[in-house]
Amino acid sequence: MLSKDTVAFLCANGGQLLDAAYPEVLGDAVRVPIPCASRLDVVHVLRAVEQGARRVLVVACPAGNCRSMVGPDEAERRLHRAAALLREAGSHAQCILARAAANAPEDLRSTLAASLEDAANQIEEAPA
Amino acid sequence: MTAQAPAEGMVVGSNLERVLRAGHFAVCGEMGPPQSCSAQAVLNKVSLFKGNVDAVNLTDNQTAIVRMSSIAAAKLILDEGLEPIIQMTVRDRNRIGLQSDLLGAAALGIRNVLCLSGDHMRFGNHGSAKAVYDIDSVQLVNTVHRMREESLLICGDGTPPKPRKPDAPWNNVPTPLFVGAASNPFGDPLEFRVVRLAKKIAAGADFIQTQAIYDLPRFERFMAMVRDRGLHEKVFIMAGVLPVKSPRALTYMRDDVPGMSIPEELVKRMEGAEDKEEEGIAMCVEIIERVRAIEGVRGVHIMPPMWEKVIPAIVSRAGLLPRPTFEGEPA
Amino acid sequence: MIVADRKPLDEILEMVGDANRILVSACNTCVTVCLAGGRREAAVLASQIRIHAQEAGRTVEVRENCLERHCDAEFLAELAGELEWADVMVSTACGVGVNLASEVYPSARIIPGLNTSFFGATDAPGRWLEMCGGCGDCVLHRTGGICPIVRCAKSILNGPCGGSQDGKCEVDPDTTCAWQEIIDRLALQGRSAELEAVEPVKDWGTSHSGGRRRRIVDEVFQAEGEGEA
Repeated sequence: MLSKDTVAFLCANGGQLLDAAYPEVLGDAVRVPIPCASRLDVVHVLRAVEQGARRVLVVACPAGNCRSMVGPDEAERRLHRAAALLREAGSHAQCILARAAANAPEDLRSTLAASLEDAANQIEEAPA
Repeated sequence: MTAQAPAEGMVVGSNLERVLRAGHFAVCGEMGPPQSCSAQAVLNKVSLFKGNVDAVNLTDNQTAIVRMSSIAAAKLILDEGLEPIIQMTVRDRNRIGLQSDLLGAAALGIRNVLCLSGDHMRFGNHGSAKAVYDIDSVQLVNTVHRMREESLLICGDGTPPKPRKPDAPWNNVPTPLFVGAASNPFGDPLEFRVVRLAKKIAAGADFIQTQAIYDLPRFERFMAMVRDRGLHEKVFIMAGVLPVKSPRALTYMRDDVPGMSIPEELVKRMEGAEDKEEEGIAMCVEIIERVRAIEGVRGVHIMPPMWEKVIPAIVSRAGLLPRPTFEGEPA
Repeated sequence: MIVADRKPLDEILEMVGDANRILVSACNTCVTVCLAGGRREAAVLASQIRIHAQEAGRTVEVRENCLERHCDAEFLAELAGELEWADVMVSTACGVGVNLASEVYPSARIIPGLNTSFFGATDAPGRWLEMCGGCGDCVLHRTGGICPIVRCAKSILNGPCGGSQDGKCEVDPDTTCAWQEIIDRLALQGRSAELEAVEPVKDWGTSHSGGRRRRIVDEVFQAEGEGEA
């Protein structure tokens, strides 16, 4: 279950609606509403980590479903950039992009499950 | 064959110049100086060239890899009775260094220079070197020409024999160098390659050595354009050939050497050959025979990369022996 | 405009050393346009420095600001108070800004956050290309507006070299051969014949070869007693 060390950026047209209908999926994550995933800025991600987030999640719409056409793609590029900047700064915070429609909580759940498993594996692999 | 060297039009009287002006089909070979100070490495190659070529090109830090200076290597082979052509690129020296080295080379008895841009240092073993490129290869041709014809440096100063008193008259000493330039018939754009050749001639080039030729149809088109402008009558054009002993060498040049054109059929032929060295020699001899038949080609320049020992076989099988000799000392 | 790249964080951190109070100062001019050292990029750098310190279990204070320009002393006046506070200032202005700020505040530790690269223009969003070498002796009228000094890897004035193939430079297949472009441009303008002339050697005395350059407009400039003339 997600705790407060996860910051979730939620698009107004998808993520926020999904969260309203299925709040249990994001658990205790800190929600940050944004008008569209394309409005995500690299610095938002860094600031979240600075303030203690160990995991940054962006819930964007599935490909082809974005009201602004390119929102999820833009978000993905910026999240990649942010992840690179975080690594450069020595942070192991996880950046996750989930593409899920408002009525598809399963998509978000499975993305999260896979990401959390990855993160767990990384921790196991890391030398003590 | 021993012939009287034609005096007419002779500017320097180097062996290369005498061979060309006498109307012989000239033969040059290329020698890469060692990546060390080993004089022996240079001397070991002398016998491969002696009697087989009219002059030997000494490369100038070819592919931007540090090697013994071309002038030093040239002096070593000159003392062994071979005639050197120093290659000089504008990559590593500014106009002060270039002109100083030209004076020094001529003082050592070197009589031929080939002016080049040089392979960019990105390709060599000092990729982080600062580029010089103070002047370009066309301007270097003109610099050498002017030092010989007018005894003047780029700055307009003369080249007096000894330090002079201010305002005293003096006779400048010309720098006797036969000036060569390169031409790449396979670089782009093709039409402009001929224009650039014309510029090098206008700048004062006496002879031209071309990039290695494999694509004969394209070279023939190039030479036709050269003849249309009458350039073949203003300069001695020597066709470059580069013998290889593996198909990989051909595909490497095709894929990784800028400004090369390698027909696919040659790659296939090399792949299919049982004795690759023999096939490489045969292919090179064929190319020499083909280029020799092209009007305006006055000689051949053989560039065997790290395979200098193939030169005697190629020259012999191409029917280029014996090389002409001349009575008397060079002018 | 002046185009720059941000230095890798490791390099910046090494320069910062154990300073605890760090000012990151951005410039709102060229480096903002080329997304290297504007307000946003300074915010990213400041955040990275903070995150790095947190990961290392250290506390640092990082402030950010953005000046209109770092290349005019009057704008640098804003820095006075901040530099009183800061142990070190990371400038995300170009090298001009770092020079001038260091001159205005000679006792401050001011370090470059960027590698200043070239004079260029935006070619496409997110891509800038070098256009001018600032050689002090412009030849663009003879080359169709294409600079052979910086757009040709060998600065050839009588190009192209033998390595030009399919319109590309031998040094980098992603770079267009400047001389192919010059030939095409002059052909378009019906001026191909001009390229037959041998271009004489260039006077590099106007370029960097002559040391630090200066420009003076007599009717404006009023020499003071001191300073470099």
